[in-house]
Amino acid sequence: MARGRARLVGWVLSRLAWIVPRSERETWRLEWQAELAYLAKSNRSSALADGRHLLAAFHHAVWLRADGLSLGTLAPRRPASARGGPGRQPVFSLAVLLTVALGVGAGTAIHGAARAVFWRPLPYLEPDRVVVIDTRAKDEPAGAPVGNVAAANFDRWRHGATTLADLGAFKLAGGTLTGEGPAEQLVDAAVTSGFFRVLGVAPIHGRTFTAGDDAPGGPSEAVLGFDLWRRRFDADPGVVGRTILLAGTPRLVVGVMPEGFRYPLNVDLWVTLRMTAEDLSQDRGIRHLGAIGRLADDATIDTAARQLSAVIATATEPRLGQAPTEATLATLRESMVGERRAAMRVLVAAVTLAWLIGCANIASLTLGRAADRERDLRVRAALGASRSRLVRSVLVEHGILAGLGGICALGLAHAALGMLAALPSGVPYLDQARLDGRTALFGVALTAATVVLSAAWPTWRAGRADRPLAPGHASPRTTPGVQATRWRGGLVAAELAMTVALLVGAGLIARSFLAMTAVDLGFAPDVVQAYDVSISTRAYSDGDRQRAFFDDLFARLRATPDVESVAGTFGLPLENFDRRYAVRDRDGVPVTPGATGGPAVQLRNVTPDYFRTLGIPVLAGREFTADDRRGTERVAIVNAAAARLLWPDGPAIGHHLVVERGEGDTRGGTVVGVVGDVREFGPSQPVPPTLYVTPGQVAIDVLTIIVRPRGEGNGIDRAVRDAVTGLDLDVPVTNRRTMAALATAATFDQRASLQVLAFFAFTAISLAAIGVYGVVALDVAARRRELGVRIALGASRSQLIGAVSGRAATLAGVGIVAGLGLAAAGSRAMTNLLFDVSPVDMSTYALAAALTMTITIAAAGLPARRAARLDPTVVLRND
Amino acid sequence: MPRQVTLASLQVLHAVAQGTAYGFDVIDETGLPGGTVYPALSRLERDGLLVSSWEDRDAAHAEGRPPRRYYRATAAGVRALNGALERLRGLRPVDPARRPRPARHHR
Repeated sequence: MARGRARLVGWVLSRLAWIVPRSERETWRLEWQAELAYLAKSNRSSALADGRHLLAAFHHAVWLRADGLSLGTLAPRRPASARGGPGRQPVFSLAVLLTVALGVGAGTAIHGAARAVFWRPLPYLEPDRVVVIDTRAKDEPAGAPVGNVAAANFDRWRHGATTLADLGAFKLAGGTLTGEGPAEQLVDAAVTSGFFRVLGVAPIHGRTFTAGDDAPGGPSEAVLGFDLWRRRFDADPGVVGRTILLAGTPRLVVGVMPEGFRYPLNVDLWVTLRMTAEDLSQDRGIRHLGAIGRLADDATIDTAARQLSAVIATATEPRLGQAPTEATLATLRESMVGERRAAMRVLVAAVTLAWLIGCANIASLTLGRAADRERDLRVRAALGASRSRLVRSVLVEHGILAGLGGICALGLAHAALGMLAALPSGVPYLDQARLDGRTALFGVALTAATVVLSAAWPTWRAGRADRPLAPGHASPRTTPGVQATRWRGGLVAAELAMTVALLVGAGLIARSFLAMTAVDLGFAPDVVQAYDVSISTRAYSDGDRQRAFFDDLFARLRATPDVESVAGTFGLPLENFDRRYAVRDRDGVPVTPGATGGPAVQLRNVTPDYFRTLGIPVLAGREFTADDRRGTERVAIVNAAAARLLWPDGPAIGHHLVVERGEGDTRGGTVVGVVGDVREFGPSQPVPPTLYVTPGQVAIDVLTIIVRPRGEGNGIDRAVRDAVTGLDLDVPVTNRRTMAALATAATFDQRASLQVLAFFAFTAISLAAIGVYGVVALDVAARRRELGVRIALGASRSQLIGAVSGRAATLAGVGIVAGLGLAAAGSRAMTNLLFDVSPVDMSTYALAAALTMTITIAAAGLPARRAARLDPTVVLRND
Repeated sequence: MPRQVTLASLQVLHAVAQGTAYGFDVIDETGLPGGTVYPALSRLERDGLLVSSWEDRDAAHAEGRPPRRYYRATAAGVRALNGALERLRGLRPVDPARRPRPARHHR
């Protein structure tokens, strides 16, 4: 540690050495090396102390380079009049350092996140050639989640699609791993043999599934994920060939996948997906498979999509009142992160603005300092000093300060990325965000860009210092810097403009967020907890046994004192569960004639008490009851949106409604109740018309159990597990979540954008305030004589403050107007993130402008009041 | 004689004239930051108030480190120091309670 630091210190010293004029370089280097070595020998060396000493060495080096002309205002030789001004060295160094650390740090962190989510190559073979396939009816809205492919269609593509070199299907499930140690809940994906070929990832041990493994009657096999293999099997390669027990089914382990391979979600292991003849005969209605394909060499996404759609169209007859099913293809990346792009764009814009403000601030600080010594420079230049030397010293000084700031920035970015990766965001691949080589390189480049951008202007101005002294500067008693003040004014106005734009952005997101949280989701998420219970094993092969299991389970849970009510459902609100079907009346006639397929409605399978447990109001009629069982008249419940859509003129109750899901498989019945609307897809999405049926009248093998506890619900987890294992030890309870967490996650994008934008807006307004303060303070310093004369002539205090703040107000006015324009132009890009607020919302704009004006006035007030307290005798005598 | 000696330079010169020979010891002695002390040392040397030379190589190597650069005040340095101290001695502490108020020139 200490040795590494010593090496680093030596390295920095040798870099600093080239600031020192050649004639003194060796002496300087030897002295500092010796001093630091001496400190290390006497055990007085620490990271902090070394940093401080390097800073001292840096000051020393710049002083020597400046040849004692106090070019480095670093030398302890500043005129008393400049004391307390914005340009004092420690303040300057610290401000530059902090600005670089914050600006570059934030930029680097955003780059790291964007890289993980959007740019880092996916760990698959030629990931751009891998497509995710979805099917939906033509009139179905886009945006439904993947996993919507019918087994029959998949099978047809497997035989008939030439545009795909390979094709794989998957189906997620939760299973319990038993035997050899404690039972463990796992996420497994049942996949076809093509799955691994499509992704092109080779196992590190053994093999993946081979063609034929997924045929009916094929072997029962498993491929382990890396984490599971390491955790459960001690990374023993000998596990290949052993048999494990998953969900009560023995499976032969044939291979182990490499680290990081967890497709399609965070999967622990993969098992063979076997499609039975029965599966394959199910058409269209049941679309429960995810499908991925690898494009053939000569195929594009478009040609493949056309071919897959054509295959479906030729194989199936168009059904009355239903739009034909089409295949939609998206690249792997697009299918995962498509809708996040807008959020990312806004973040990138925000961080860019904050960084630019930082650069403007450094430039402004530098100009302020340059103004302090402008006369010095002019005299020096007139005496024939080399301009390049002056310019170089400015660049070097910036470079080194920025370098230190850049190191802090990388540290900040590293920490920020760690936090981002740990966020339960649900953003794909964000958990893999980290400071890798390329992101670090970006940080270094950004630091360099900061130096160039922030030093360019002051350097250019320093270059003009060789012009003859202007007449106004002839008197040594005149404080120079008027011109610099004008430039700084321009910079500060630009800063204010960007600040306004950021404030408007943050304000719009804040309003959207508030509007979104104010939306009534249609149910009471509060304390309701949900669990998945799957009984898709041989023991429950028919509908009667399945119904009996869940009836027993609910009875047991209802008897638990902690449970207020319990129900089961196939698909939860806010989990993007999307199954839409066209509806018809009993005679097969579309309910609303004329439309292509009739209106599509969501189909939901829920048990009695579902509405009570989730807190969904029953508006008319009744809920499902235990009497709605097999053999009784089929009944259905619709939500208010469906009632309005289907029967706008009269009551819904009593009508007959049917959806057809497959060959003769119909759902629905006589409408017995109308319930409140639920925002199934989140607060910003419209309520889908929904038809509820009850599994008491149909078979179901997987249910999500929802439980409303009495009180806090701490014992519910245990109660649910006990109740399930009490019925059957091999039935797993998986995927515990609370409805409150789902409700929070539904606004995650807005919440995260809001926090990040608020942070940038805060940074921006702080930096802008410093900038305003600096420019006004310098202005005051430059006008001391004038102000002194005014005081002597009897100007009142308020006149003086007005004279000084007037300039700040002008800057603020220009900056704010420009900022509002910038915001209006930029906020259009945010439209996707906004909810219930216009991108040119007047009140948000007004608020941002008012806030900026207030901050400006406050920042200008300090030096203005100081000006009013000037003592004219002191000013006129000393200056 | 230098054009002006700041208080900080004076402190540095004082410390060296008192026998504090090395840069870091001057920092410890004066409590000034390193960014002030080193430029001051260089300037005082350039102005002829200090001279520097190198520590004995063998002694340093015996301690396993490179030889340090040490400073001594010149005769001119001691003269300048004493002159400045003499001028400072003319200043007297001010009782904060009886600070004379400047005359008001406006309002």
